[in-house]
Amino acid sequence: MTIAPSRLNVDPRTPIGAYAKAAIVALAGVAIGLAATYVSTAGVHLFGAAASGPWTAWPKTGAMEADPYARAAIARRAEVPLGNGEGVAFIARTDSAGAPLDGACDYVIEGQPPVARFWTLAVYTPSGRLIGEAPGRRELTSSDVLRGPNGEAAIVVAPTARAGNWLAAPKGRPFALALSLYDVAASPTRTSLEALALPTIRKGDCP
Amino acid sequence: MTARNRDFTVLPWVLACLFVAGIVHIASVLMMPRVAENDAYAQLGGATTGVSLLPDPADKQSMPFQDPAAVLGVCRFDLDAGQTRVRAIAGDGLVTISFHDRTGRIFYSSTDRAALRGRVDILLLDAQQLDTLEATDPEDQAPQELRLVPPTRTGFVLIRSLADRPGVRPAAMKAAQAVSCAPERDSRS
Repeated sequence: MTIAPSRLNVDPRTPIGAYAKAAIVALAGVAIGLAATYVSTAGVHLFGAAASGPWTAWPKTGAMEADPYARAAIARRAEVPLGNGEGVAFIARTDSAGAPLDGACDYVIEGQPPVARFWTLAVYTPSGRLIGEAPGRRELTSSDVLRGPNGEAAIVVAPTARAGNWLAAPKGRPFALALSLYDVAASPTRTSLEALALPTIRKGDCP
Repeated sequence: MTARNRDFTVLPWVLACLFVAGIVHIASVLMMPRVAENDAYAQLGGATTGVSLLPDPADKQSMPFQDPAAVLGVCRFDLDAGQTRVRAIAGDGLVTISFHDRTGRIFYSSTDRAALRGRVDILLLDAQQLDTLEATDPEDQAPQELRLVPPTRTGFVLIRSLADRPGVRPAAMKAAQAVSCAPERDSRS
């Protein structure tokens, strides 16, 4: 609470003091209420997250059931989420061990890609801006990823160029990954998404 | 005045402050979709006739976490200008369409493959236009299109056309522009 105690100790017997006190309290209430709104719609969506390992999706943002906080955040940030009939987008801000993704390190993303007609994996800043100045690939798709004999794909996210599937990470800065699955078979619900076996993100060297 | 007495006089004010804060917080969250000026509808632009392609995200990013592999097209609808028809014919590439109300909320979304008979044919109209249309429907035949009544009278349609490789971006742009989106005159006029 930011109210100075001395200002609340206006003598309550004088009406002017009581009004001043009430005004201060009301203004403080308005300020706190607006601050709470600002904070609660600024970062990630508060409710309805479906997590599978380090990957998180918010399936309700793609449907009419989006909660009021999600709707406020979407309007404020001009977000255009993927509709449930189009597919589902997962965002990862940490590796599979829970440590924040850091452009100082190399990461290996491996596993069977999920069943979808088409998928893309792209690198962003934590707030969702594309990494502009990176010289290498900033996105890989299901049609241009190189696969092993069993269909598995290992993708390296690193600040310096690699052979094979390489995504450019912003050197020395934190980043986020988005895995978008288009035309998935079932309608995405929280339980169906949490059951998906999504690729793991393993931290390698931090030179 | 003892410390204990002072607590008793401050506590109601603290509660009043939190009460005001709670009301302001709830009201502002609920109002934000209506008052946000830089929401997706304003940011994406677009016209009520034809699909406008959004800039390549390498030049200008239109939304947070925009997929650089997708070519995006937008068109607006305004039911006051008439019912709006959105048509897409399934081609080689993957095209997805989402329908947003004025505040950005998605009321319908689909891919080209979910389409009936290889095409997406969606008619956006209000309850009154729907009644008028249904009155003229032939009784022995199901409607050819999917009819949707949007929650708000204006809104936008977003088309995502997926470019497999950088080289096929022109093909994806063509596929996005091949989607037609235009108001139609009411059948009664």
